[in-house]
Order: sequence, then C-alpha cells, then structure tokens
Amino acid sequence: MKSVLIHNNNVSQICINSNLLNSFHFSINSTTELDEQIHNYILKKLSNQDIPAIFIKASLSNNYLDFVGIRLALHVRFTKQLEAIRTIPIIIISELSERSLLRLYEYPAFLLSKGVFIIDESKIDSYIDKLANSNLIGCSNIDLFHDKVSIKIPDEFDSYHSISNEWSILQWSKLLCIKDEFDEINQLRKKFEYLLYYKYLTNAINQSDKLALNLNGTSIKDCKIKYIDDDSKKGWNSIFSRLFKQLGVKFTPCQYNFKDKTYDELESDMLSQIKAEDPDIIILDLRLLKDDFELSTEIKNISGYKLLKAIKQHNEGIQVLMFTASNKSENFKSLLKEGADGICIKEFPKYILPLEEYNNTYIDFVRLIRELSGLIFLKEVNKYLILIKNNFDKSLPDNDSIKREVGLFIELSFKLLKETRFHEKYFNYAYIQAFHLIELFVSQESIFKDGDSAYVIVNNREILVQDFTSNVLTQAIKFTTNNKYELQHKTFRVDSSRIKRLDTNFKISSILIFRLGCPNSSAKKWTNIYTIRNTKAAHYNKENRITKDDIFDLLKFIHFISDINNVNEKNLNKGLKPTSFEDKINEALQNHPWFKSNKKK
Amino acid sequence: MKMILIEDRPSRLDQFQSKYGIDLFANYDFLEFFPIEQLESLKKDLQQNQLERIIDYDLIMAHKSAFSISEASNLDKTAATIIYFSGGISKSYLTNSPKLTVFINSKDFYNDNLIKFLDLALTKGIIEPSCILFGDRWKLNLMIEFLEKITIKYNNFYNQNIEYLIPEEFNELVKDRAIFEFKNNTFVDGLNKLSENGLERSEKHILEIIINQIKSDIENTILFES
Repeated sequence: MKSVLIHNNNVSQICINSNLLNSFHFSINSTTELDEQIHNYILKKLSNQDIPAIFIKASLSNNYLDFVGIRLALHVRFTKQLEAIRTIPIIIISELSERSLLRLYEYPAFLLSKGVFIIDESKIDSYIDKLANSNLIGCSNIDLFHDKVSIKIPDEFDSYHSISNEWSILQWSKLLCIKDEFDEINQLRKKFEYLLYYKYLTNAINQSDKLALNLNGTSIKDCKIKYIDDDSKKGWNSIFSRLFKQLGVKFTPCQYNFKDKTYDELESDMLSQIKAEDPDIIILDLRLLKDDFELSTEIKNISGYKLLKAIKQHNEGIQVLMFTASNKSENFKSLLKEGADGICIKEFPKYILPLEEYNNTYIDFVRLIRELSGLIFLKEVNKYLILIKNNFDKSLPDNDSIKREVGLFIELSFKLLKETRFHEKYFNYAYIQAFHLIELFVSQESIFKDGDSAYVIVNNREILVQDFTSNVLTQAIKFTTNNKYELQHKTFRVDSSRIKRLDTNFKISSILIFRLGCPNSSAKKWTNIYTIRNTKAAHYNKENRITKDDIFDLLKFIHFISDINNVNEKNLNKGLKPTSFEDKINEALQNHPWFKSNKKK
Repeated sequence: MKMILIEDRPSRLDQFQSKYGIDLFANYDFLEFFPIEQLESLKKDLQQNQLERIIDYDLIMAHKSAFSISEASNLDKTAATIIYFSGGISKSYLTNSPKLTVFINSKDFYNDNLIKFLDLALTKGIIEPSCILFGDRWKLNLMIEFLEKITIKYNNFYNQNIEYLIPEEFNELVKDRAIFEFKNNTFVDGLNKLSENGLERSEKHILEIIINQIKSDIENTILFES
C-alpha cells in the first residue's frame, strides 16, 4: 500500500522513481476548464484506491502562483465520489516556507486544517516513515473541515446572482424530476460536479433530494405564456418548458440575445415580439442588461422595470409575473405600483438554500401562474376599454370633464376586475362601475336631450321620442312585458310624475332604435344587460354572480353604442311628429271647459 | 514586437478605456485592434487553416467565444503567445501545452494588470504573460519558479551521485534573463559562472548560496508586499 505523489516533473528524479511512492504526473492542457481537468484526473487516479496519503507538489503548472497542486488537494477534500480518500493526510511539497505559502495562497485555512502538512522535498522520506508508523493523521471529521474552509466565488461571475441562479435552476430541475433531457441542465450538473466552488456548496448544504412536486390537480386555464430573461438559456427555458408541458399550457421560451443591447433596442424588439405572439402571461426577469447589475442602478433605471411599464402601456391586461433575484422590498413595492401582477423569487442572492426552500418558491410560482391564468380575460377587457375610451373621445370631442369621468370609470372597472383573483364579488362591482359609462353616455345632450320633451340626437338632428304637451305624453316606443321596447307609435295621457321618469332603459332603447337603427331595444343584448344591472349586479350572492361573459356583453354593448360609426339613420323618420302650434291651440281649445260643455250640447 | 487584440464585443473595451482614461492603441504603438468587420473573414481563413493575416504577431489577445473550437485550434498554430479571455473561464491559468497560452476571465483581463502587462512590454520590451495574471507579482512568480528549478537541479545532482554538471544544464535557468534584473551581483555572478563552467561536486556551496539567496529574496518580497 503506497502513498501517491502528484507532480509535474517538478520534483527530483529520485522522488519520481521512488519505490515507496506511486508517482503520478499531472499537467494542464488547454482543452477544458482547470477544475474539470483536476476533477477528472483525481477520479481517474485516486478513486477506489487504498492510499495512505497523498504528496502533492504545491505548483503543477508553469505559473507557480497558480498553486494548482493545492487546488487539486482541495478537490480531494471536497469530492464526494472519492469517499474515504477525502480524509487521508495531504502533504503539500513546496520550497517556499510555510509562512510564505500561508501569505500567498488564497485559502490559508485549508493549509492550516487538520491532516494537511507542508514540507519541502527533502522531508518526503521522513513523512513516509511517519505514515508507516501511523504518526500522520488525516482529516478525521470531514464535516468539521467543511465548516472551517470556505471557497470563494469563481472569477466568471459578475455577482452572486449567477451562482444562486445556477443553484436555483438545479434545485428546480430536481423538483421537476428532470433527468438528462436538456443539454444546458446537463452541462450545469456537470459544472456542479467539477467546479470547486460548487463542490464546496454541495458539501456545505445538507439537503434532502427526495422532494418532488406533485402537480396533479393543479388546474391552469388555457393560456399563452411568454418568458423574457437573459438567463433563459442557462436552463430556465427547459425548466419552464417541462413545467408548462405538465400543466398543459402553451409556453414560448426566450431565445433573445441580450448581449450588448441598449434598453431602447430591447424594448422595441420585445414589444414587436409581444404584438406578434400575443401572450396572456409574461414571466419577466428584472435585470436583463449588463448595466442593471451596477450597484448604483435605481429601480427606475433597471431594464425589467422599464419593460414592465412598456408592456402595461401596450396592454394593461397582459399579466406580468416578475421572476427576479431581487429581494428588496422597495423594489417589490415599485414593481407592484407599476402594475406587476405577481412577484416570484427566482433565486436567493447571498443565500444558497436547501431544496426545501426552493420547493416553497416553486409552489408559490405555480400558485401565481394559476391565479394569473384566471385573469387573462383582462387582456381582452383592456382592448375593449381602450376602444370605448376612444369612442367617447370621438363622440364627445370637446368635453374634458366627461373625458376625465370616463377615464375614472374605466380605471375603476379595470381595477375591480383585477381584484377578481381574490373574490368573485368584484365582477359585480366592476359591472356596476362599467355600467356608469352607459349612464354617462345617455346623460350627454349631444346624445340624448331630456326636458319636458325628449330627443335622441342623430347627426345633429333631434328625433322626438317624448312629446309633452299639456300633460299629454306621446310615446314613440312601447314598453313590453319583457322589459323590451319596440317601435310603436301610440298616444295617451299620463300624469306628470311619469313624464319625469325617463329611465336609462328608455333612453338607451330610444338611442338603439333611432340613433343606431336597431329594430327594437333587445339589440346587442341590452334587455339582458339592463336586467342584470338592476337585479343581480348590486346584490352579490351565489345566485347573483356576474360572469366574465356578462362583463364582455356589457363592454361590447358600450363599445357598440359609443361608436360614432354605428350611427344609423334607418329609423330617422319613424320618430314622433312634433306637435305644431295649431295642434297645441286645438288641444287647448279641446280641453277648455267652455268648449267641452258646448261640445256636450 | 507586435500584438493584436481581437474583440467582438468592443463595448467592454470602450468601457475599460474610458474607466482608465486611456487609448490603448495610441499609447502602445505595438498594439493593434483587429477590425470587427473583418472578423467573419478571419474566421473563414482560420477554418481553411490560412494564417497569413495573423502570422506576424508575437502576441494575440482574443475573446475566446468569438472563435469555434476548430478556429481556435488553428489560431493556436501561430507562433504567437495567446491570451484567451472569456466570461466563461472560471479559474484563470496559464499552460505550456501545446503552447504558451493564458486563459483568463474577461473581468480580470480588462483590469489593472492589462495596463501593467502593456507597460512592461513598452518599457522593457518583454512579453510576460504571467503579468496579466498576477500583475506586480509576476516577478515573484518568476523567482519562485527559479527556486523550484534550481532546487530540483540541486537535489538531482546530489541524490544521483553525479560528479559534474555540464554548463548546458544551467542554460534553462540562465534563459530567464528577466530574473537577473532584480537580483544582486553575487547571485548573477554565481549563475553566470555555472552557465559558463558547469558545477563540480565539490562546489555544492555555490548552488546552496544561490538557493538561500533566492529564498531570502522571496521571503523579503512577500514581507515587503504585506
């Protein structure tokens, strides 16, 4: 049973040829990463061997200060596959004094840890003797070693984000039981296997690998999900492809190249994609561009925040789930204020957490997606509300106060609909708010003129729909039993109290018939809409639930009546004939007591 | 001396130059920037093993990801020392196999050491790749390397019962001329003597003096650093 000597032909020949040592040559090549070369080398040379100790030359490269040999020694301690070999004595051979080595090497704690010895080449023989006499003890408690020696983040990472992001990807892949189907995740796993820092992390965190999320019973509404993240190709595309496939949802991975893009280029490209793909939900990372990682970058200058604003400006109804490494509550506040519909922690910068923590994040993510999938109708709602607003602007061009009111009703209706994710009663509340737009519309003199007599305005012409002369009301339309108005001329007397009660139903019915050319007031489901407003909307209970379809019927109706292009003169001549001055005199005479008594005679 | 920088993401070069307030190509006239618009045609040349456009350079600094594996392997066929930088290199290192090549993370490449490396080339006329990795410690690195080599020489000499070492045995050590610059005369004289006359077994003390001298210099350098 011989100890091993690892060198790069940088010890004397007598050591290399010693019968007491198994001598292994190690040299760096340019084909793969240094850690990968070391990892493969020690697995090949040291696995399943019965080795009492390892002698390693401190340097194994052409650059002494690389201390590749000591790095190899660290790998030995951190490589789980080596099992018992991990704990054997490690003797570092260096012509530098221990004091110098401790000053120069980046992990002096390792050099001082139990079972590590520093000698110069001349003492190799005496250490072989010590081993033979069992006077050299290795690292008896590997857990204690891991507590004492910590490894720094590798050079490649701009910040802690990349590490925690990669860690997070692997944790999610475990939760989704992803095996070897995705190349980028395989590569990441390989990297975790060979990179010294990841070996250290894996050793530092004791975790159960047994968790797996059961997605049975998770119902997600049919929707289209788009993903925007500069880390997407590192594994998240695959993670989400798998997750959404399991959930039966259409998912568009992110294939965009974020490198060296300005924000303006990013926004323009993303909005073009969004317009073309028309997603319902967007999963959006906060930091998409390199500048975002500057410590001084305020949230308002971070690309993901700006893109969120742009998406919401394009269509407020697109559901945006922020998927971010940020954990600042101030950032969360700003994102929610700007319209983010949910925030999910992608990773935990500065914290490398066990699988259980990621399980919670994962469950939270799926819950949020489920919630947001119930709100995808808002995208269509938003389109209608914009059309309605434009219609009002065109129909009532010079009325700023009405525009403000319309804006408020629209905003409030939308906000209430967003709240439906928490309770369905908000559908009822939103219905009432949106209905106000109808009442606002008919209250405009340019649409419906309401006095003693009432007129529907059609292309600057007044169509008489109620003629009031000496307490005689002549109605143009008839109120039928099913709340529907039909076009039917009829003259009758009513008392004055009834004259004042020109309700919304009458006004809208008149508008439908005379302004919009409909045959009766059941057009565009008005009768139904009016009935819902008066019976169900204001009295929420399980029987009186307003549905999304009801909301869309209402919005479509408002859109229809407010669209100036729908004005139709078809029924223009079917209005009431206004009472002439002679008719009014005759009417007065007819009602005069003298005239009445003479008539009797 | 001619050096060339091949960078397909010039924004980070611009950032570096503006951070240091320096125009690299004006300051160091031996350094050229490879035009980005010609990069595709260079790649095609490399694919066909045509090295004419880069054959004249003593040092090539290139963004590793700009080249495919086969293109890079043909780039390696030039005589030039190569410094590859990339964000994907997690541990910077230098290798002699198959040729002198430095692999360095981009963040570390665009840093103080690049200026130190170019200054060294400008003032001393030497290309010292370890300077880009270790900055001012490049001398210390050479000294330790020298110590290693001479100690092996010493151990081999006395452990193998050899009576005389021929002068050529010391050629490699003397070749590291840069080390002479910061050594005292005794040291240089001793080394010169070895490379001229070789070493007899009875002259053991000469090697010991050199070894002890360099050890002490290394200790002092480290002490001075801290």
